[in-house]
Amino acid sequence: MSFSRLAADLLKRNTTASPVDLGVMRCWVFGLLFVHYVRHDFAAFARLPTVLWRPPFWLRSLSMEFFEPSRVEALHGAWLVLLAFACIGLWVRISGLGALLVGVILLWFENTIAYANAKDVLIIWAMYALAVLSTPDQLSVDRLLFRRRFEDASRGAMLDKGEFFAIHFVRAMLALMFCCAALSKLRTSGIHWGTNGTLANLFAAKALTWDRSPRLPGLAEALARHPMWCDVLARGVLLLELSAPLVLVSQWARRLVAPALFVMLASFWLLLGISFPMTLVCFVFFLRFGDEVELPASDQTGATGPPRVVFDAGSRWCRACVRCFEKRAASKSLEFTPADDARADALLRDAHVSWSRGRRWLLLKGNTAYRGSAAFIEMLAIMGGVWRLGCLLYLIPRCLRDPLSSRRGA
Amino acid sequence: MTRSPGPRAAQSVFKMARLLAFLVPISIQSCYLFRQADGWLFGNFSLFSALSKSTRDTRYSIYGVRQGERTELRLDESAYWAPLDLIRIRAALVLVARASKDDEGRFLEALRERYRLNAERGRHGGPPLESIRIYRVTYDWTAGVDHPTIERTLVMER
Repeated sequence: MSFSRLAADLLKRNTTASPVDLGVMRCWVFGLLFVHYVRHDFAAFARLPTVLWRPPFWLRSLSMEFFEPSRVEALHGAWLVLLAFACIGLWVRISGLGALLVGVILLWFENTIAYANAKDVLIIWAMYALAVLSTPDQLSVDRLLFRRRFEDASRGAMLDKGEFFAIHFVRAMLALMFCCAALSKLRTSGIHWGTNGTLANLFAAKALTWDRSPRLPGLAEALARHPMWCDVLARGVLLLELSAPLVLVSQWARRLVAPALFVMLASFWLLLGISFPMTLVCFVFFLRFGDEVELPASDQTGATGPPRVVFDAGSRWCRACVRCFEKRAASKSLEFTPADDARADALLRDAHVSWSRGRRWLLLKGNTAYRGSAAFIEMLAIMGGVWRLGCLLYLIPRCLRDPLSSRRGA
Repeated sequence: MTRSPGPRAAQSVFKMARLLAFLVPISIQSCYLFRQADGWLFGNFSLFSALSKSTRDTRYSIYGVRQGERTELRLDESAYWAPLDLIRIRAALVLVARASKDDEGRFLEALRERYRLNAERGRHGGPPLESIRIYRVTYDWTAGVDHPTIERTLVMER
């Protein structure tokens, strides 16, 4: 198999199917950055003695006086505005790039004071991916304001597979980060890192030195009393970190390894008080939010007519929703067909789309088929007006949203 | 008449630039799989990589002296010093201890100011302080984590 064929296969297998995903990821990343840093006092670092200033050698000519407190405060204010704009998707290119630039300056400045902390690194790469590598997405204020220009850009963007670059970049950096950490342990300490009580000793040191504020006080001491268990945990950590690159090539690994890595980082916080809040946020790049498939050119049954909806007529929830939609949206002309109706069979056959009863809804709109809760959200968007706010439901990951919506109908 | 290659050429340049923007940081980070060096943005995240066999640990610890009572209060929690964290404060203490008494004084003054500001902003409920003391504390848990011995030496006060 040629390299280009392999690359094409990888792209096809790993590219997210929905252009909504990138927009939701952008909302989460920039929004949570805003929340995390809104009360952060960057100017506090500018008020420390200059002897603590430790820039890299190629920036030694820059003096710490350049970062006077008032200037840092102004930069912080500007960053928050840019983050808010990037979160809602207003002038998304400019605000995203601006948030990246100002964020790098502020976080770099903080990390040149006495000690460089690696916990901010991944969030910078996430901003970089969203600002530089991504393409205009489907979930932004820009899309409402500059509809025509944006639709053209989106069409081009979808052909470019821009979301592939952005999402895979963050996943790759995350995988490399964990893999580097594991190899660093093996290089420095060998396999003994997982066999001679290093982790138990670390727990004891953290418990005694009362370093930070563990969320589960007493658990570190309890674990420190059992070096054997700690060794098993340590070997698990090593194995997990080494297997991180699998998330780039295997869907199963993404379902198992990515959540395990998330839990591992979260337990550092619970046990030892070492928190990586912004690194945890980057796991949003492993989630799926939209659920749509592009119909083959010859099968775009909804391209000309009104949007058509196939729903589970056996579900009381679906029937109630359909009544509500029909009452309120007579002018919007959504065409509803129960899934057990012969017309639904013909529609699905023509569109080459499969129906799953568990998903409850299927919407055929233009050249796209939406499934499950994504179909329901798109129906709210078609209703217009206040109902458009239903698009905010996209912020809930599909793995939580779909079971919730299908359980309602049970 | 020949057609202008403008938009198509620009598109392919844009695609190439994006490919480079994708590959360059990944390639640099990949190099750190094979070398032991930590930096900011790129590094091999060597936190806690070293074997820890010793059951002794020495580190700086921050205490405050309450105004009036003149009793000590341990202040090794980030809430007192935010946005400075304890790792950064300890690294800073090493640097100022190597520098001069003036720098040491300036840093402890900045810490006191931070403590006061964070109290004002409601981040902690600590009492007003008369002074800040920095101790070098040695913990020894050779006899077990339940029976540690702790020795401390005063190294700075302001």
